[in-house]
Amino acid sequence: MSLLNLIEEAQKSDLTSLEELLRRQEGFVFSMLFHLNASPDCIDDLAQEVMMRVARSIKNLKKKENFKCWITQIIYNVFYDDLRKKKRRPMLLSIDNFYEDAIDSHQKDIEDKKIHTEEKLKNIELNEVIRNAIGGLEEHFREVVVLRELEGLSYDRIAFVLNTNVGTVKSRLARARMKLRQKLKNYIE
Amino acid sequence: MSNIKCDSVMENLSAFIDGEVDKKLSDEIKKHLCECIPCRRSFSDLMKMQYLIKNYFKENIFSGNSKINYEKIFSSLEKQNDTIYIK
Repeated sequence: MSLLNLIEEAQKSDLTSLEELLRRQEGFVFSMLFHLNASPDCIDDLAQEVMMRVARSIKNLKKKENFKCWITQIIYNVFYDDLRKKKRRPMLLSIDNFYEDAIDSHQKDIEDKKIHTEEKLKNIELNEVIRNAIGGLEEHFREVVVLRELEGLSYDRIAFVLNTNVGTVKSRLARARMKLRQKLKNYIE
Repeated sequence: MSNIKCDSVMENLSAFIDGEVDKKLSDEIKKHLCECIPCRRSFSDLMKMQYLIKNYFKENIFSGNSKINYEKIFSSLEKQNDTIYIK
């Protein structure tokens, strides 16, 4: 069933469609929370809260084609509500843990198959460099990068999610990219 | 010769790459990039960086087993209002 059909059925209180709709968003919800720098300790709880809010308010979504933007705003709100509530800052180092298992298993895989190619090792190193570069950005820069690059939202959609104007989005994204370019200069020049 | 200066190009390069500038400005930037080697170099670096970043996000999409408790969500919905949910 298409995404639009699922939304329509979920709005008619069809639980099977609602569950399918939520399950299809899991990857996006977790990825977005991770890239916003949510702590691994609370990422499951935050994702649960996002899904709860989506389920409770799906009937209020008027334009089904705006679903991605709408759920992005819910993720963003849940993340920052939690941040404000706990009066804490994102843990810049915590992101190392989240994909640790995936990286470990990737590394084991390489060992098992004896494919120590320079290419694969470079990719692992590059992934870490990029993860640290994005994680090290100030919050207002990181959030525009995540919204743009992970979900591919247009500038006006990002402005809507962040409750700001397109000019601010444009300048933040430009500055964020300048910072990333500096951090990744060894890989792009 | 393009009418736009290097400062303006640099300021708008990121939005230009995203297709978020109007046609007039886009044409001016394109013209400028044909003529200016330093700006073209910056454009090339940004494009390469974009490629790396996009790839990074593509490769790091969560695909493991989530711990979402759907039972909890649905039982909460039943309590929330009188709507009858169809399973």
